[in-house]
Amino acid sequence: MGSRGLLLLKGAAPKHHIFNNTKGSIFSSKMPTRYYYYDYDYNNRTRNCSTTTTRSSLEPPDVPRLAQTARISLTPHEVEEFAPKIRQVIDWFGQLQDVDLDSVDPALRADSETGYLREDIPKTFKNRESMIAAVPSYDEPYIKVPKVLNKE
Amino acid sequence: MASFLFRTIQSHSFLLCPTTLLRRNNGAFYCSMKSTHTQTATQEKQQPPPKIKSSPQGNQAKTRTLDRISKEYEAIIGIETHVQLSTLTKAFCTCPYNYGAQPNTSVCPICMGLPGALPVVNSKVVEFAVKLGLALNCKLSFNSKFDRKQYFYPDLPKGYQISQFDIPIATGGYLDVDLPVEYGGGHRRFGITRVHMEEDAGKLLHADDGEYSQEITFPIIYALQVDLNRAGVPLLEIVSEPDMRTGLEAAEYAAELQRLVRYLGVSNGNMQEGSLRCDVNVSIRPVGQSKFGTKVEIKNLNSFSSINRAIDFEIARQALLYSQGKADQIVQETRLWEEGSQKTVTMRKKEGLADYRYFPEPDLPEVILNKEYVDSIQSSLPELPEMKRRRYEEMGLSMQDVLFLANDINVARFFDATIGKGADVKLAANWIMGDIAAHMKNEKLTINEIKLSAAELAELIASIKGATISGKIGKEILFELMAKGGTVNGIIKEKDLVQANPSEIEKMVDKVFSENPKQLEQYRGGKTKLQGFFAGQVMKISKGKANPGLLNKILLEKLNAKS
Amino acid sequence: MLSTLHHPPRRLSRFFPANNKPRHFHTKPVLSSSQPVTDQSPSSTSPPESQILSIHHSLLSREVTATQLAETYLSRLKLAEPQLKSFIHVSNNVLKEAQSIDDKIKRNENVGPLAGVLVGVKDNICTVDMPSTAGSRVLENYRPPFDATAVKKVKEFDGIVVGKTNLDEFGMGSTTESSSFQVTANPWDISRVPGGSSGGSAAAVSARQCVVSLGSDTGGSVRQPASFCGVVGLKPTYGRVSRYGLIAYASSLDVIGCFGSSVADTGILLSAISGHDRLDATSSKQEVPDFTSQLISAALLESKPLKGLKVGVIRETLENGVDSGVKSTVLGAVSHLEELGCTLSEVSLPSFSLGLPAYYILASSESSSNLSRYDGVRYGNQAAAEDLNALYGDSRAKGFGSEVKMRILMGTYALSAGYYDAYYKRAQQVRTLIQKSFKTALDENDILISPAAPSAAYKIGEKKNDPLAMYSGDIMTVNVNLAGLPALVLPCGFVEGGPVGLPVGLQMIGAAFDEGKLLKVGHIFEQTLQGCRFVPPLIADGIPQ
Repeated sequence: MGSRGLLLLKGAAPKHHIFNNTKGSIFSSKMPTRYYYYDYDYNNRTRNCSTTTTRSSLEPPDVPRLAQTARISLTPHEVEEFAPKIRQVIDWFGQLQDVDLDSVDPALRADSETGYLREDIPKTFKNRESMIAAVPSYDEPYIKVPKVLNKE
Repeated sequence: MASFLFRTIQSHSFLLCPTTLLRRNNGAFYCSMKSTHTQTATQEKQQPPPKIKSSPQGNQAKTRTLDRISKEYEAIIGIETHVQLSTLTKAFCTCPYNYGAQPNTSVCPICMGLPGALPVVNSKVVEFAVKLGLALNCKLSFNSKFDRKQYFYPDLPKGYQISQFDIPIATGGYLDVDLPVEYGGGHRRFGITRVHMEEDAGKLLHADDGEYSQEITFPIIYALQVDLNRAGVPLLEIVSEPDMRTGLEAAEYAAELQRLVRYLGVSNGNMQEGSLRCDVNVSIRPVGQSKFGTKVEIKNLNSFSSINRAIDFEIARQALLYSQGKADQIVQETRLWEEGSQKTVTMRKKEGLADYRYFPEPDLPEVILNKEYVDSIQSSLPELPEMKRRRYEEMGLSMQDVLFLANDINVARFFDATIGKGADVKLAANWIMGDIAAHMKNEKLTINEIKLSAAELAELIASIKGATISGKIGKEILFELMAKGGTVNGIIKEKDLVQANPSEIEKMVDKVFSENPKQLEQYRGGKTKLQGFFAGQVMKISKGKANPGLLNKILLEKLNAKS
Repeated sequence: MLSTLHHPPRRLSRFFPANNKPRHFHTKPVLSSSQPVTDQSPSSTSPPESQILSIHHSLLSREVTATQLAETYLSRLKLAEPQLKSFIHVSNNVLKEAQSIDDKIKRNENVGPLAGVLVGVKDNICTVDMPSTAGSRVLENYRPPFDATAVKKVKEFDGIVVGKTNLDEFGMGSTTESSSFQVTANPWDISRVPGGSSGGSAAAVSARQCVVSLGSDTGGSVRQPASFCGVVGLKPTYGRVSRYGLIAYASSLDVIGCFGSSVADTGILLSAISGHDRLDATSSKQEVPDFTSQLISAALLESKPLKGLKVGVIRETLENGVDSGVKSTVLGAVSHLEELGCTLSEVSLPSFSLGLPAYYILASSESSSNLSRYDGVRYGNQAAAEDLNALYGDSRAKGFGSEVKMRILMGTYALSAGYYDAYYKRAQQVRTLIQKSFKTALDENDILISPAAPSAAYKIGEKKNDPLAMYSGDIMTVNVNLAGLPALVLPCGFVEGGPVGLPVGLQMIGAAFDEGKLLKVGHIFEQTLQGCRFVPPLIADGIPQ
C-alpha cells in the first residue's frame, strides 16, 4: 500500500526534517528523545526465578475444562477450533512472565478519585413490570429454572 | 407449598459440577426448615438468656460420654457467621428490603444483574462494618476493596457475588464470652480472624407442589423457583479463629455475636429469618497431637441449641471413628444438621478447594476510611455486652443476674435507667428478673412494650424500701403498672395503699382484741397458736396495708403484755 | 502552554452551562457558520464545520425544520444502509420526535443544544424500549427497562436517537465482523472493514447517516474506527462519562466516546454526556468545562496559533509494524503541527509494547466475569434444557459468538487460582508502568501524538481467523485505556486504497481530564489542514446530501 499522505497534505512536507527510522529515531538527530522508564529494567530482562512464577510451571489451558467452568457447552468442533487459538494467545500473554515487575504495585484501574458512597435512602425502581416481563420463564411470583439433575 | 432446596441437594450428589456449590455461603442452605421453626421460636424470643442445652442434669449418659471424649480428644471448632444488616436499602442499589415481602417485588436492574447496571456502595454498610469491626476489637483496613467471587447459580444474578477477598475491612479481633453459670460458668476470649462486607444471594425454593414429577419428563422441568428480593442485601461475614472446644462454647460465641449486633443496632440478629447464620467447622485430634484433624463443615444450624447439639454430635461421631481406628473415614465434607433425628448427615464431599476466580471488583472504587470517620464511629459506640457485664459484676450482682440483665440490650437499658433513678441495684435486678420477666413471658411482650417505666419501678422500689407500702402491695401495684401504666404514687393515692404506721397497727390490734375477747382469753390461757388468727384479723381490717413483720411484732407485744 | 497563545481565545459559543444541566436557549450561537446545514460537498475544501451548531442555527432561524432535517438524514440513512449495514435498529420515532421539536420552536419555546441532531447510539448502550443487543444473539430482542445515563442526557438536550449501530459482539473486535447480526462496510470502500468495535457508529457518521454518534472505547473501539472511516473520534478520560447503561466489556477500561464529522461536534456531544453520575461509582466528580468554549474560529487564527505547545511524538508508535503510508501521513501531520507553532520532541515509552498483552489479559479476564450474567435465566434467550447446567451451557453456547467464547475462556484461565498472579496481577503491574510513563511524558508535554492504528482500513475477512494479527492492530490505542487518558483521533490524510484513497487518523493523547486541550488543538489542526475533505465516496457518488 503506497502512501498518499504527503501528497494530500498541502504544504505539509517538511523541509528541515529527514525522516529516518532505520537509525532508531523517527526524527533527525536534533530532536531530543526522552525515555520514560519506571521501575522497569527494559534492557535487563533477567528475573529472579525464585520469586516469579516461571512460564513452564503453568499448565496450558484445558479448553473443555475451562468451558465447563464458564458454563459454555462447546461442540467438539469448537474445541478443536478454539484450542490452538487460545493456546497461541495464552503463549503470547506469557511474555509478561519475562518482565521484572517485582517492585511494581498493581493498578486496579485508571487513577480514580476516592470512593463515592451512596446514602441509605430507599427508592423503588419504577419499571419493574417490564423487567419481569422480560424473564423467559416466569410463573408469578417466581422466576423458574430447571433443577440440577444427577446424571447418573 | 415449597420446601427448601437442600432437600434436593441431599438426594443428589452433584456430580455434574462438583465445584459449583462447594462453598455456598449464603444460598438456600441457610434457609431454615419449616419444621424447625416452632422448635426454635421460643429461644428466639430472647427474653430469658438463650438456654443452650436442653437441661444440664438430663442426658447424663451423654454428658459422661462427652467427658470421656474430652479427656482423650481435643475438638477444634471455628465459626463463620453471616449477619444481615438492617439497612433501609440493599448493599449496592436503592431497593428496600423487607423480610417476607411478595417474591421478586424488591428488585431493580442492579440487583437483577441487568446489562449495563452498576453497583454503588451503600454508606451504611461501611458504617456498620466499621462499627462491628471496632466492637470486635479488630484492626481496620483503612484502604480495603471489593472483589468478585464467581460462581454460577440461579440465585446469584450477576454470576458473581460482590465480596471482599484479600483485604477485608477488619481483621484480628476477639470476642469475650461469659459461659452460663449452670454449666460451670467461666470467661472465654475467642479470636476473630476477619470481618468482611458482601452481598446476599436471592432465595432458591424447590417447587414441590406435586405439579412436577420427580422423574425427568422432557422437555423441561422448571422445578426451582427464584426469588431475588434478598439478592444484594448487605451481609457482614465474621470468621472466628478455631478457638472453640465444645458445642457450648460455640453456641455461646454465636449468642454473644447476636447480642453484639443487636447492641450495635446493625442487625436484628434473627436466626429464623436468616439474619444471623452460622456455619461451623469441626475437627478433632487426640490430646497431645499438634497436627489438626480433618475438618468437617456443618450447615443448617437454626438456633444456638442446634449449634451446640450438632457440634457435640459431630465430636462424638468423629471420636467414635477415631477410637475404632477408622479416622480415615472422617473426610472433608459438608454435613447437614438434621433437627428431627438430631444427627449430622453428609450433604456433599469436598473435592479440593473450589476456585471462585476472585479478582478486584472494577465497578467499585476502593473503600477508604479516614481517622476522623473511624473516631466518630468509635465514640458513638454504645456500652457493649462485655463492658456491661463487667460493670454489673462490679456492682455486686451475681453472675446469673449479670448474664440475665446484659443479655438483652433493652432489658439492660431498663435496668440501667432504673438504677439511674436511684433504685437499689439488687432489688431492681430481682424485680426485673422475677415478676417483670414472668409478665413479659406470659404476655409475650418485650420490655419496651410493657407500660411500666424504669422511673416508676425505681419509685416502687423506693416506696417499699421506705416502708410507704408493703412488698405485697408493691407487687399489686407492679402488675397494675405493667398492664395499665400510671404512677406508683397515683395508684397508692387512688387506692389508699399507704402502709399503716405502728400506732395505726396498735389501734387495729386493740380493735381486734376487743372484738374477739374469747380468743384473747384462750390465747392467754396458753393456746398460743391463735397468734396467726389475730394476725389474719388485723391484716384483714388493714386491707393489707399492715407490714407483716411490724404487725407480728406489735401483736406479740400486746398479746403477751397483760398476761 | 496554551496560555502563551498570542491572540485572545475567542469563544465559539457558550453552549453548555458550567453545571452541565440542560440549558435551553434560542439566542444565536456565536460560532454558527453561515454555511447551510447540507453543505457536505466533497469538492469543497473548506474546513469541517460543526454540524450541530449549524443545525441549531438553521432551526432557530427557521431556515429548515427538524422534520426536514430528519427526513434528509433518514433518506440518506436508508439509501446507504443496504451497502453499509451500520445500524442494527432504526428508531420508528425519529420523525415524531423531530415534529415535537418543530412544535416547540413554533411555540417559541426553548430547545436544547442538541435539538434536531440525529444521534446514532452504539448497540451496547442501553436505550429504553429500543433493542440493545451489544451485537449478541444472547440479547437478541432484549429491550432494557432504562436508558443509559449518556442516552438520557442526549435526550434531555433534545437530541434524537436515530437508531442503534452495529458493533463487534460486546465490543470484542476491531472490525464489526464479530457482530452476531451483520458486518458493517467502510463507506470509503465497501469491501473494507469500518474498524471496530464501534464500526457502525463510525460508518454512520462518515456516511452522514446521522450527525454524531456515541460509541464505546475499551481498547481503541472509538479511535480505530474513526481513523478507518475518516471521522473524528473522541475517547474521554476514564470516568468522565458515566458507564451506567453501557453493557460492560471490561469495566476498568470501558468508556463511552463520541463520533462527529468535526472536532467541535465531538466536543459538544462530550459536553452533553459528561459528568458525575450517582449510578456509576467510578464516574468522576471533576468539573465538566464547556469543551467548545476554547475553540477558535478558523478566521481568527494567527499564523502560529499553537506556538509554544509541546508535542511529544511517541517513538514506539512509528517503529516497525506500522504501515509506511500511515507513518508518512502521520509524520506529515506532525510537520503540520510544527508549522502551527508546536514544539516537537520524540518521547519513548519503553513499556508500550507490553500494553498489548496486558490489555488483552485484563480485558478478557474482566469480560469473562462481566458476561457471566448472560445465563438465560432473567432475560435474553434461554435454551430449552432439562437441567440447570444444560440451561446455562446451552443458552450461553447459542448466545455467544466464537470471539466472545474464546475471550471468556481465556479470561477464565487467567483468573484461575494459581494463574492469577502470573497473568492478571502481572498485567496490572504493567498497567502501573504504563500509567507512570504516560504521566511523566505528559508532565513534560502538552499532548502526545501517534497514529490511531498501524494501518488504514483493511479488507473484510483479512484478519478474521488470526486473533494475534487482529489484536496487534490495537497497539496504538490500548495503552491509552490502560492509563485511562483522553485521546482524540482526527483524520489527517490519506493512503492509497479503495476508489479514492483511505483516511488515516492522527491520535492526540492528553493528560487526564484535559479533553479541552485536545479539542482545542484538534480543532485548530482540522481548521488549518488544507487539501483534505473527509467525505466518503458513497456520499459523493449519488447519495443525496
